[in-house]
Amino acid sequence: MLEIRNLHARVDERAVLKGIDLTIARGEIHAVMGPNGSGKSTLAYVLAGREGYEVTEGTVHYQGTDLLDLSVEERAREGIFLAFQYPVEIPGVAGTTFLRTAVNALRKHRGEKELDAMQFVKFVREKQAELNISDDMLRRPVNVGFSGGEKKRNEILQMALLEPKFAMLDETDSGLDIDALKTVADGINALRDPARSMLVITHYQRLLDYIVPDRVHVLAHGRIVKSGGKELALELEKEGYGALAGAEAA
Amino acid sequence: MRVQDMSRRITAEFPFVERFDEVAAGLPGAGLHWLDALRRDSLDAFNRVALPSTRVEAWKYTNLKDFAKTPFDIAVSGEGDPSVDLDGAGAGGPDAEHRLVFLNGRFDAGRSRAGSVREGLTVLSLGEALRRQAQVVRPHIERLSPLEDEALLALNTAFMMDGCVVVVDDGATVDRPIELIFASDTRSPTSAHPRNLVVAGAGSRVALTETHVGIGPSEYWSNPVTEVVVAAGASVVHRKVQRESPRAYHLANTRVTLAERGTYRAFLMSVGAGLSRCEIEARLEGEGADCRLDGIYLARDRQHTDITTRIVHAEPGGSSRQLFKGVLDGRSHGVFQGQISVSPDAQRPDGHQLNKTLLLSNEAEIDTKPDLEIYADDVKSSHGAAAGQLDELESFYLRSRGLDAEEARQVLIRAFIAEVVEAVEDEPFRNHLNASIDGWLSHEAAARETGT
Ligand SMILES: Nc1ncnc2c1ncn2[C@@H]1O[C@H](COP(=O)(O)OP(=O)(O)OP(=O)(O)O)[C@@H](O)[C@H]1O
Ligand SMILES: [Mg+2]
Repeated sequence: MLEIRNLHARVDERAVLKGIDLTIARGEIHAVMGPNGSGKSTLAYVLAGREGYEVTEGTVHYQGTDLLDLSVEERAREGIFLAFQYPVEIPGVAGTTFLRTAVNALRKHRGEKELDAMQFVKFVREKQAELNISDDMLRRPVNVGFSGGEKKRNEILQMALLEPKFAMLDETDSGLDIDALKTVADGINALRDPARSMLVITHYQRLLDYIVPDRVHVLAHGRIVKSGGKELALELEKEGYGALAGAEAA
Repeated sequence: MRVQDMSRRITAEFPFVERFDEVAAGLPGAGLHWLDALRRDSLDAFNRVALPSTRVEAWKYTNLKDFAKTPFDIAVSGEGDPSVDLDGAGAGGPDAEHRLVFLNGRFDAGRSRAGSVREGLTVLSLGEALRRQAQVVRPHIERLSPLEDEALLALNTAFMMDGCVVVVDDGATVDRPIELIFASDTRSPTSAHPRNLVVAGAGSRVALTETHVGIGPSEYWSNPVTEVVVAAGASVVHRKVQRESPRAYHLANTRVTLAERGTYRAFLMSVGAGLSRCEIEARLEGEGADCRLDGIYLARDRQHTDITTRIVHAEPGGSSRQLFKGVLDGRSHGVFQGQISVSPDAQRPDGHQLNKTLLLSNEAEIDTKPDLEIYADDVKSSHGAAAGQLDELESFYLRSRGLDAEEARQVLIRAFIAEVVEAVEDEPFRNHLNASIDGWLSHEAAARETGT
């Protein structure tokens, strides 16, 4: 599904990714862990195509095509989704309008009929209930005044509506209380599908108890310094990144 | 005569001004002695004062030099081209209960529904009002003119062609908005000088919607003056959409006085004209008067759009609110000057003002100048001004959900002005605004597509 080879990227003249190799097969869930500032969000932004995140070396293939050739919206329409670490507030745009515009952009791309306001309400209702998102939240401007947990649930709602093929979840578990973590994890698990792959960025083993990954990678100083099975997360929880990150720095 | 500093004035030689005697003989109210004298005095005032240069503080950012060189004349015909379709021009459509249409400054009776006088309400063209009720109109027109340093106002008084007169009796409520359409359709540089008067009696309620449009191929100049008198406890809603043609000069003056507990709510959308200036002055002359001015300005190419407001808190306990948001693209230039002046007697006033501009190109420019003159104590007052660009992260967020770059841009531009649009209570007018905004945005998109 996704094949990253020797990926180097710069942000603001600063080299952040320094040779990432990562292959994610269809239906697999990979977790990425690693110290603050190691480049996890940068990797997600580069894959989503954010401007200013300049790839200086390497390749990314997604379903056989060159991902780096596509614009942000083309990637989204081809099924790439990023749940943001810090979901963006957009004053002046009502949540429902935003969601409907996004859903319709994808439907249009797939040659399906766009949903009108009434049809959309029906379409969103069930998923909204599962994620415990009130009508009021959707009437308000996108993410404006939302609590940290509400923002994260809103990201998962978008993922559920857009049904991506490759989803990146950047610290979707941070800032959630115990119940919300369960709600969000259930939401993510509901989307597990043999045809859908995910990259889950997290600092905590806890999330991985709910969403059991196929592979776990440790990113430090812009490189993957260790990969393993789900037990690697447990190991890291006990021993920290010290040894791994240190080894790289040396 | 005061000796003038020549650098502060621009002398214009407009053909119609030189032909004053001949032109004035054909204007409404000709033969009324007081009006003939007033026109003559105003002409003298204009010739004495001349147009302001950018050395005059209030005109620092709006340059009339090129404007002054245009050989404007005045429209002679009364009816205009009958084939011009103005049905869709306003917010109320052709079925509005009261609809006054002015073509090139002249009242177009064929396209209007006026003269209808119903209980408590008089809606007439100025010409008709001068024939039937000159005594109602006279004190207002005389009060406003001629003023020193107000060249455009003086010229309007000298040449006032027609306009509307709305008088709402004490306690009366007018349910549906009164619609005014000012259209220009000219083949050579022409000027129009509409003069409107709105008098809302004590405790009355009325709403007006003005639309200014231009069709013809030529440059033209619209110089409207509107006087609004809000009596005690009366409420006036005054909405205006300026979407003149790109070759237009739109230089408008609105003067409002509010008596105690009177409320005035204005909404202004300025989107057309090559050069426009909308000046609004509101004087809160009674205790507890309340004034709110909201507006949107959209400009592109080399458009120049100026909004100048002046709120005078003359009596205690008044409140004023202003919210203006603008979007500037291309090499356009925006100006927002908001003056709040509080006189010593006006204790406990409450005046707030906010101006925000979104700059879509590096060449677009905004000059914003809040100006507080406060001579009283215990004043609650605030002002703010900000200019910024579209947010890269917001755009990325939208695009990462599948919206294309242009769609994301339009969503964000709309979002920026949404606050002002949503505060408009009247639904038909809000729809009308949204349609104008859509039109502007899709023109934008098309222009970007072709790279112009
Ligand atoms: N716009 C930018 N300009 C300069 N440096 C940047 C920019 N964005 C990110 N960086 C730097 O790149 C490095 C990687 O940042 P990134 O956000 O990818 O880290 P992260 O692994 O996601 O960290 P965290 O766990 O705290 O979320 C950091 O050192 C950060 O300061
Ligand atoms: Mg991060």
